[in-house]
Amino acid sequence: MSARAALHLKLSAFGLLFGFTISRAGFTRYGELHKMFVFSDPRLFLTFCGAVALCVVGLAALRANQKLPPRPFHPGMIVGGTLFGLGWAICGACPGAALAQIGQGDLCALWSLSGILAGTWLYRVFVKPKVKWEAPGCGL
Amino acid sequence: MSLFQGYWPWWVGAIGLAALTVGFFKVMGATMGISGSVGKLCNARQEHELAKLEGSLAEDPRALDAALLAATLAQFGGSALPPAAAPPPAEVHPPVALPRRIPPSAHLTFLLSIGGGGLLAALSSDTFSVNLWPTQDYARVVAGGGVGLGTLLLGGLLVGVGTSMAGGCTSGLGLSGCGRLQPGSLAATAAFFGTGVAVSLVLARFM
Repeated sequence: MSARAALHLKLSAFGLLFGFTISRAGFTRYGELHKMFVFSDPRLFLTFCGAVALCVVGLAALRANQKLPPRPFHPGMIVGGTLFGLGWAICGACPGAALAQIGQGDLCALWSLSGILAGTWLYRVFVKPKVKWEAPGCGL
Repeated sequence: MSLFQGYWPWWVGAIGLAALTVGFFKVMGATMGISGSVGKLCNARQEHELAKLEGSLAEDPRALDAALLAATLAQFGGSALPPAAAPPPAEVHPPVALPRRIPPSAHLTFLLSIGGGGLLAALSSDTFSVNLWPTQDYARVVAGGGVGLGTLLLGGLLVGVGTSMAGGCTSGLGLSGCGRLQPGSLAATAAFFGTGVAVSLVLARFM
């Protein structure tokens, strides 16, 4: 198998498993997400926190921080995080969930996805050149 | 507990998400981040140019040394070098170790597969159903019908702008970034979760 085909195969596998996992966990259902956000059911929040805790252990074991460049903090992380949280509560989808929602039959999520793509483009073309938040240098 | 019926208990989802995040890094040599993939796909042209640049660096590291030396001399003149400068060392420096860059087409494969995963999950749990209009749960809290489609679009716009600005989403910042204990990721994750909570509490109260 060519390296290119192997790359696509690996990413298909990860994508399928990721979409499957977030759907079965409940991250793609507005009702479940809402229950998390209003504290009526801790299940999804515990899922996330548990995942982060395990990632800390796993990524440390793989020495991720020695192999990857650090991501310096910039104010856009807070402003952007806030806007993302606002959007997440309003449409019930982070980018991955929007894709999985379409897969599970919620074609209304095409509207969310369209918004996400438009927002991504709008930021890059109109906002990013003006804010210059990220450290200058190689965009690696 | 069934793998295919009802929602997973928290610890099953936690193990699944962590295994994927850590496994992705192990196999791909880069962190998994969905909004990052979306961004790179939308920015495909620049991604191709950067990949070409990195390729030429990896092929000929001496070219980088020569280019740096030439630029230094051009900027500062011969005085930039110490008087009895030794000639550049004959041995070649090892290639710069850059994180592996995934091509935009592969990011597209990844994103489409996430949709496939959602399909598989719904089919296997017998919850697949085609909804052109917002779901009942959504309509109850936010809006239904045409207005609901509008709020989905608006929410998506905010997600697109916000994740681009922050440099990640729940997977990139939340799982990978917090997993690396990066201060920026921790702050951004607190910001998006905190805002999600605040806005949802308002929606629950007033809508």
